[in-house]
Amino acid sequence: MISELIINAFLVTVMLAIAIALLKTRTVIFTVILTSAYSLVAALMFITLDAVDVAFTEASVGAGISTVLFLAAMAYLPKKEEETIGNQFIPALSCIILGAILIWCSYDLPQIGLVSSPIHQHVAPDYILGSRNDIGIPNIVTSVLASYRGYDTFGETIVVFTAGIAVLVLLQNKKKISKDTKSKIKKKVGRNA
Amino acid sequence: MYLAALIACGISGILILIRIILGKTTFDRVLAINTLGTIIVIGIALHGFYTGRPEFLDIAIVYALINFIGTVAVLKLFSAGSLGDVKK
Repeated sequence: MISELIINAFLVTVMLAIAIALLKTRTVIFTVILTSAYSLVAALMFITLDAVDVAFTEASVGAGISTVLFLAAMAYLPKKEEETIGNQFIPALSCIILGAILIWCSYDLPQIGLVSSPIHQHVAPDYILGSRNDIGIPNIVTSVLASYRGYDTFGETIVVFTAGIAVLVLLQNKKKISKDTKSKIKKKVGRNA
Repeated sequence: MYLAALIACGISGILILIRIILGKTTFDRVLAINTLGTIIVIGIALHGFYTGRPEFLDIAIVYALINFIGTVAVLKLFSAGSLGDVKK
């Protein structure tokens, strides 16, 4: 128990150090690299909290794909960040107030792993007890995602698919299309003449 | 024994973190981040064995792969100037 506390405290300290270094940096690529390191340590934190699936997602999406996407987008950016001008007092104040409210609210959260907390009372016992007989696969998370909450997962997939289509429509090469249509129009005009 | 190895991982992680923050060139930092990823992979494996649940080794494997992809992406950006086709 004590060792777990020490590991968590160490990880939080490392994350805090990376966050402070992130604040200090003014180079874009270094920011991207530090964000990747932050995601790595955050995923380790999720593992110590027994949230293995979240850790998987954080490692692959947070540390892997988003780093590559940031780097791909970075080629379009200037190398140095401009110095911010103006008073930063009000943003700092709002951040501190928001953080204080969140910390204050966290005192009302049930203890981690407490059996009597609401999250373990509602439908979770039914899922855990009935998963093997109802669905027939050993992994409870998979059975919840694919069967008990199948329609939710289906809706999520549709939303992600729609977002992907929207991005493709927004990013398609408009010049090429306009040239093609122009040449078609020219041909039509030529035929008519 | 696992605890001693975990502590050693933690200490080397702190040293690498200092190198990341103070690092002179960007390449030092890239190398340091890569090494930090390796240390974290070892840390996940050791933590799994220390708590008696070595099933989490899968995540260590995912980490190793992701770490490699990230480093390759950064270095490709340095050598080619961009990822994919940037028309200037």
